[in-house]
Amino acid sequence: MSGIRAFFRVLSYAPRSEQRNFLLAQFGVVVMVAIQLMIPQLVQRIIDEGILASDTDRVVEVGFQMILWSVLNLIVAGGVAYLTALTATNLAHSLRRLLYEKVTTFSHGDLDRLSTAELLVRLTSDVNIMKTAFMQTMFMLFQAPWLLVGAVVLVWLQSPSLVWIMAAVMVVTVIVVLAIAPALGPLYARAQAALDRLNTVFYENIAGVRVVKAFNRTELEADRFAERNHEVYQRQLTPALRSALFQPVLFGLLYGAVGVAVLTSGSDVANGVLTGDPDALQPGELTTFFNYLLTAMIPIMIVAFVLPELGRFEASLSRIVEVMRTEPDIVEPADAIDPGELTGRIEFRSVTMAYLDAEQRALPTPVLRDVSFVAEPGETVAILGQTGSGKTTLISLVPRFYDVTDGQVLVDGHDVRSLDLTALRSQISLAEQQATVFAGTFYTNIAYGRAYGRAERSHEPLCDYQQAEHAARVADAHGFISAQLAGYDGAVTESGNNLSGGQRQRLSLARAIAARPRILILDDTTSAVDVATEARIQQALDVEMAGRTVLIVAQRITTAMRADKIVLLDDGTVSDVGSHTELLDRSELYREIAESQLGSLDEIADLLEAP
Amino acid sequence: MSNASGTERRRPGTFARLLGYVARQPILLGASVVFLVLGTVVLAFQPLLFGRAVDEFADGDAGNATRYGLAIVAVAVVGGLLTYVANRQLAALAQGGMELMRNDLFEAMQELSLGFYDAEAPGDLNARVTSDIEAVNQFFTTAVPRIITTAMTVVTMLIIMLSLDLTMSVVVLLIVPMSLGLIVVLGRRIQADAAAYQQLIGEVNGYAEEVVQGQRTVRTYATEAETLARLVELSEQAREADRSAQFRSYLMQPASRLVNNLDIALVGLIGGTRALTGAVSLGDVVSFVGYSQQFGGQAMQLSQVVTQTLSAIAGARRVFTIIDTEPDLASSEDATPLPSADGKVDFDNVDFSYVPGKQILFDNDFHVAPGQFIGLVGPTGAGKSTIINLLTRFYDIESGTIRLDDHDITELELDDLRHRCGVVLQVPYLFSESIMYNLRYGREGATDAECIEAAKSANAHGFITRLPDGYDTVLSEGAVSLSQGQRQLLTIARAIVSEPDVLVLDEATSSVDTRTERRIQAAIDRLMEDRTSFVIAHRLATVRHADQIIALDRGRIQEIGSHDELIAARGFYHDLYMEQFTRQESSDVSGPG
Repeated sequence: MSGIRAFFRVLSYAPRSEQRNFLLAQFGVVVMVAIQLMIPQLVQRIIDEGILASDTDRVVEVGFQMILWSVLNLIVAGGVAYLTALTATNLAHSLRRLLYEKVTTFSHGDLDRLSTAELLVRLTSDVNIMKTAFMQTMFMLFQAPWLLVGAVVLVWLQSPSLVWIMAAVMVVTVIVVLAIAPALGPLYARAQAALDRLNTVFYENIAGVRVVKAFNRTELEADRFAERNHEVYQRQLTPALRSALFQPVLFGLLYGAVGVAVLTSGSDVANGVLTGDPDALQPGELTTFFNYLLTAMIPIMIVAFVLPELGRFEASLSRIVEVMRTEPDIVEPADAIDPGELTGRIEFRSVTMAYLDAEQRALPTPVLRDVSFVAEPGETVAILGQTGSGKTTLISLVPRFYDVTDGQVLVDGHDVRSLDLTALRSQISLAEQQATVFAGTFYTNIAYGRAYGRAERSHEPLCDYQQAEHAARVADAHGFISAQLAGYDGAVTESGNNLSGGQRQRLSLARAIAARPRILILDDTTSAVDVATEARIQQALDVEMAGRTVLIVAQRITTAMRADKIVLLDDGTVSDVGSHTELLDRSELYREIAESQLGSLDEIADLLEAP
Repeated sequence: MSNASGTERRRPGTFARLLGYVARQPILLGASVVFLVLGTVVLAFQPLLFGRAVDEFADGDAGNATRYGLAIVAVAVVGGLLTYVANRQLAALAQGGMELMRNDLFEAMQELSLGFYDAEAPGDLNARVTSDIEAVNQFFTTAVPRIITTAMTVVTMLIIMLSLDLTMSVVVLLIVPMSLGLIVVLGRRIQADAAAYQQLIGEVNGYAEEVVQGQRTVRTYATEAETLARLVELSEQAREADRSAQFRSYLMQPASRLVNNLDIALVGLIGGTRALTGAVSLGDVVSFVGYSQQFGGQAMQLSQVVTQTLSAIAGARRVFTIIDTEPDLASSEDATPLPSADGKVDFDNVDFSYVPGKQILFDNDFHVAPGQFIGLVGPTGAGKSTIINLLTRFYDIESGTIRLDDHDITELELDDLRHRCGVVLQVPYLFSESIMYNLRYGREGATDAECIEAAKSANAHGFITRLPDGYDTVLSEGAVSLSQGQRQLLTIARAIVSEPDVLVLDEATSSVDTRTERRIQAAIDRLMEDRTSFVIAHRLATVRHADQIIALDRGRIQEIGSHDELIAARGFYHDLYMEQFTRQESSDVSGPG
């Protein structure tokens, strides 16, 4: 019954017009039920007053009425169906909108803690479950109480001597439904869990196809699959076997009740016919009794069918509410400053940063400790360090994807926490190692950062094809884009599935360049391209980004060598800051990295001196 | 890149094939049909007995009331029991059919070559196949029992009705064309709307997936408002189609009811007229009214599974396409077994293209002695990974020969060939099973001790034993997070377990930093001892000690030789090597236009 409460809770949040539609539909439901209860009456009249009285005119007359009522039923049901579809699809649409709107308020930290897959399930299947259950409740479930009460009352009014049989049947039916139905929900959940595990095998087999084939373990995979497949079979079969009881029991009861009615009231009916007593039970009434039993059984089956759906409705609702209640951990101040066009000076002042746990408390182990350095406008600063030394965290603080635990990150002298987020981010571009590209064309992907509203905020004009091509040339992406039949209008499929990792990286780099940011951040953006290409890109970038600030995270020392300044990170602290030659001179860590990547430095020096 | 779609054999219709999975369980099918027929026959006596009873009561004769009453109760009990048994068998039949079909699909996918998978994004293929399977599942669990039950009920009732009166049977049967008309008229619209909705909601969900997964990029470019507007726009379109489909599908039930009542009225009218002439008894007319109600009920229930059946057929068609795809790579009938190899590898004038017309490798020719260390270098797209894909016969070449131990690899047992090769890929791929499972993945029948030994020599034993459950730790998403480097060490241990004669390392260390790389490199060096090994590396330092370095560019071998030889030659490799340190003037980047 808590499902019903959840239903009305959702309805109470709906706009007035939707609530009015719901009430109107419920009025229609009552009319539908009344007609459905009337039809058996008419069937009885056809039998009693028409067939048994050998009066075909009466059959025609009553039959005609019956069809008229059915047409009316169709019209009313059509209205109810329309209102139901209207309300439910509006609900689904609003939920999608509200949920995504909420997602856009989440910070990187929130997104780290919430799983993307789960957010997507809320947006897709939970919304769908709620819509379906909402419709069934609105259209079907609310017919049930009226149908049940109506059928009992009508039998009681017409054939009081049969009402006790009906009451007994109803009681037994309810007991049977209650005995079977509530246990089905958990059983279906178990079956679903088994199906999810099966899908994991399936997915891994596709995603890891090279490994499966390389180690030649198709038989092992087939066994693993068959085993889980059989588990799914068993778990789906259990609830199916239980619900196999429903229909035979209900129909057995129905038919059995008719038998009892014949057994107990046969002589009354026969006597009534012989004596012509109009108050006695008429033969047709036995038929009607059967029909009303059937009518009363339907709502019980509806309830048994819709209740589990309502349970899923409630579960989905609570999952959606959970997302809606998540408080984003980064919020713009009410009096946010718009810094206008940035010069691009970045300063880290004793920055300590620890990620937050699920309760948004800082974890005890900071990722960055007491980090200080300055990137002057127009400088290229490389961040170098081992995996886990905090490079990506460091650059994520500039567009305020995370907040510092202690210290300050300043852009143009403003603490980023005091700035208008949109104004700040519109002037920063970040290209990541795991490049995200969107479905569309090469052009729409490159122009993404300077399209419509974003262009205005970034103080730059809209990006045209020429500029997109220029950015692509800088990012060394022009080659593979122009090789496409449609060139820059060539399609990029969802998540860039039709591109290689290196192509995606270069496309996202082109996007970052095309945005003409005041601050460009590259997070190991060229890891999937070869050294020569990378060198070409670097050189072009130097020209392109002249006068603008560039932060560049690098694995390869060859990338860092070219920067104005290198920030050498070691386990979250700044080990040293300086140019390549300075660091080579004084930092042992830097020399170690350089030699491991390049080989003996003396040897290189010799090679470089050779003519 | 779908050079592997293969040919499709001629097959019976999709619907028949779907039902074929039911027929593959003949005992269950036979038993359920028998019980269903018995149950239906017994239950069909109810209107008959009831009609007779009412008939006699109407004549004022209640002498047989007890007998009729008890008979009806007995019919209810026996009929109910028989139906229950039949329902259980139908449920097992449906689930069994589903299990068979999933196994068929999975086995077929095992046989498909990489070319098939190249054509699809893994997430995409997975999502499509699971939703297709789900549609078929719905069909098997609800529609199949419905269809079988209805068919049996209709046939049994038909026989009983025909034994009573032909004309009246025909009148009752009028519901069939009327219901069919309804399904055609209304059902078609519903199907069209539902298909439109599926298409549009697919776009909504696809877009939602993209922007939620790309939410960090949305944050980076501050395009929250734009993405919301787009999502709302897509969702609105889906809402319109959905509304129309839902509205019509909810109309199905009252419309069938109208058809049913029309039929009842006709039965009453024609039955009444015929009763007047004495052609049928009044009781029989009452029975026919009962039959027409039951028929209507069956038609209504059948109409509810029409949509399900249609979407199941669409889903099954795609599943069968996969099942029917002939694997284009298979061992030949008289393949040579190769229980062990020395590791001599020869590429003789190999040409290859993934897609006909776009050649990737041109005339590749090189020869590797057993135990040699081969470095493959060259710019992105040079064809380094392709060479490895060909050696393990993930793809077949166009011309030339590849030989292992002087056997043409196309003449070798495919299983044996791949068992001889151990592969470590750039992105470490592990299964969400225990660590032990993942290690044993390298070779069937490897003992726990062998796996642990392999983990030790891969420098992985230390961190494994520090995990909560050691070697039994299950690597499921979110539960245990291993670093990229640790995962790579596990895949190296897995390769050690497989005891390969030829070792292949495709950029095995490019995604880890220098210190981790050293640990991994130490493990790799141990693995490479006494084995022929192919190593692809971006960092040229990794392969400078190779016996032979093969330098590739755009699918052609430029140079072969040791590091020192190639540096001294001052050719392609020398330039590649020097590019690491020097800025080279490039004319590739010019101004706009």
